[in-house]
Amino acid sequence: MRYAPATGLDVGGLHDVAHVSYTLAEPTMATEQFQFDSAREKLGSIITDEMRSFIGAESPPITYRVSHREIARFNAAIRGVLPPIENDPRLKVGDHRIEANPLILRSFITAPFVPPFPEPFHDVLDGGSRFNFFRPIVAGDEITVVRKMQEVFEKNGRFGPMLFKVTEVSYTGSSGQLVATQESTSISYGRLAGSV
Amino acid sequence: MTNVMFEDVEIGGGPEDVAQVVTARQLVQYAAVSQDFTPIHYNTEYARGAGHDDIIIHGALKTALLSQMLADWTGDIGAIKNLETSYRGIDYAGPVTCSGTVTAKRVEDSIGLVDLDLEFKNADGVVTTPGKATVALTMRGD
Repeated sequence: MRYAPATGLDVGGLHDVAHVSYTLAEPTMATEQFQFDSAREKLGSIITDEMRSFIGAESPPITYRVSHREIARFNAAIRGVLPPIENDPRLKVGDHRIEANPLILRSFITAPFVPPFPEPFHDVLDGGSRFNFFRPIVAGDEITVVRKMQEVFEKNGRFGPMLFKVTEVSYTGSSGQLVATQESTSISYGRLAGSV
Repeated sequence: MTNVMFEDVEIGGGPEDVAQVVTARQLVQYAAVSQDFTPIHYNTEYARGAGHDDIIIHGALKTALLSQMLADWTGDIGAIKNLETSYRGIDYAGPVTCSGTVTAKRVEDSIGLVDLDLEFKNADGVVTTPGKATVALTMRGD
């Protein structure tokens, strides 16, 4: 595996790292590689066999019913306007064609893995996502969400070791038809889990 | 909402830039609907204690704002087929701009598809969240 160079953004290397997860093919800086190898020699790998055993594991399914109110509240948040109250015409009760911003899917939180993933760190960053949408999400939909662990890997940067988890979330309608998928990368780092 | 037609789209074109101000209230609203209650998104003291200048915008909200720009451009009968974003920098509550540029267009199975590069920029015009998307647009004669 090759490691892309940090770019030195003043917002912190953490967000560089988020970018690195998508640019593994970029040229490696010898100094960065050296620093990583040195740190790893001292620390050892943070990835355990137990973590590796989660690859391919799926979270228990959760089913959400998409309501007019939920769509209206989400759309209000995206538009930066006040959320609807009772009798607000934006609720359009009875109109089942009201369509949601597709990113409402992010509101449908997946269940934790069982048993829980042995997270080593307290702090977590969102590295980015790729969504595929196969049909619109409308009021009345029942969406079942399941997260599958695809990959775990580690990197080392100015904030120390970081654990990357790549997962895919499937969003399935009541007929069994796949509505959307989301591949996402989360990065945990910093303070040890349980220390805060 | 524009209901742009596939035939009218040109490489290098795309939706109008969307400049807006993300407010603290909006971040609280988004925290509520997304269930992401990480305090750096609404508690200034906590955010500063974590080394930030101010409360920061949820990454997923940035993606949602880009998707809303696309949804407004494609109209009622267009659709976003895929959307990818990479969070490379922190954005604080305040002025931001979403933009999209058409990079390719094609017809597959009688559906007009358009690829775009996306940019989410902070108040200084720095792209903090680049992305890509493919949308399906209405074709004349559909």
